[in-house]
Amino acid sequence: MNLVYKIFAVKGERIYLDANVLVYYFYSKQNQRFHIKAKKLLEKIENKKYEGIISSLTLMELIKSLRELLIKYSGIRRMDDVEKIVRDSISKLFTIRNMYFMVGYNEAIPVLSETKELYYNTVSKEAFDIMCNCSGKCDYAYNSGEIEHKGLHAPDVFHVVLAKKCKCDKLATFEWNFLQTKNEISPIVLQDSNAYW
Amino acid sequence: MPSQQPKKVPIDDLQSRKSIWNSLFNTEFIPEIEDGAVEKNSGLLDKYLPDKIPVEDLIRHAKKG
Repeated sequence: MNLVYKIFAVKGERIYLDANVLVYYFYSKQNQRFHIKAKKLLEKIENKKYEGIISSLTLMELIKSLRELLIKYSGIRRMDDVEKIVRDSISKLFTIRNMYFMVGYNEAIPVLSETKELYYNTVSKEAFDIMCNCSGKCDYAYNSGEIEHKGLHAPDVFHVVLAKKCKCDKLATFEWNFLQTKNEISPIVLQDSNAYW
Repeated sequence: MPSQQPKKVPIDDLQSRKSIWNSLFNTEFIPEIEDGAVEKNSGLLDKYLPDKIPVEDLIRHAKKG
């Protein structure tokens, strides 16, 4: 029997945002459908249906994605100009009601002195275990048709653990691979017709 | 179902918000919450970018580093 995994987000839940949600919010032209989904989720956060969580890892991915987008396609070549656009864009996220920003450091957990300052010191073991348990699959690339591994990247796994550490109920993304981690945190794949939010 | 999560407490992100803002902008000033901010800034980057560029590929590349 082929079971369909349905997921429901309810009012008051805390939702962790993957960087792709924010990229599609800022850029509508490539995929209007994804842009509308991203915007709709942010509006629901703004209107207090959900709490939104943006981690420093999400911001790191967002910064890198926007830098690449702008340098490759905008025609802007001065890095200062690129950086101004990137940071101005991110600053707008700070004006959204009910959006929370998280950068973690837990002094209560004893760690090796060598790793004390490491950003991931409280999440790396858990992330590693999830990576080991979610092997992904062998599939064909949607654009080239070449065989490839489809599965979570290391930063995806850190997102899962950070979302759990922030006590999020759901993780919002456009990346189907997060369905592999549904035993850790419920993923809302925004384009999924079986995700209700 | 996901493993049982500890009980949530209300979020106080003041310090981490300040920390992230300071890293990005090196200023104390943090903009205030605005009504209708999501609508106002939707598609903010459209003016800089052409149509139909492979955003998904770029996001994947960003993740790989």
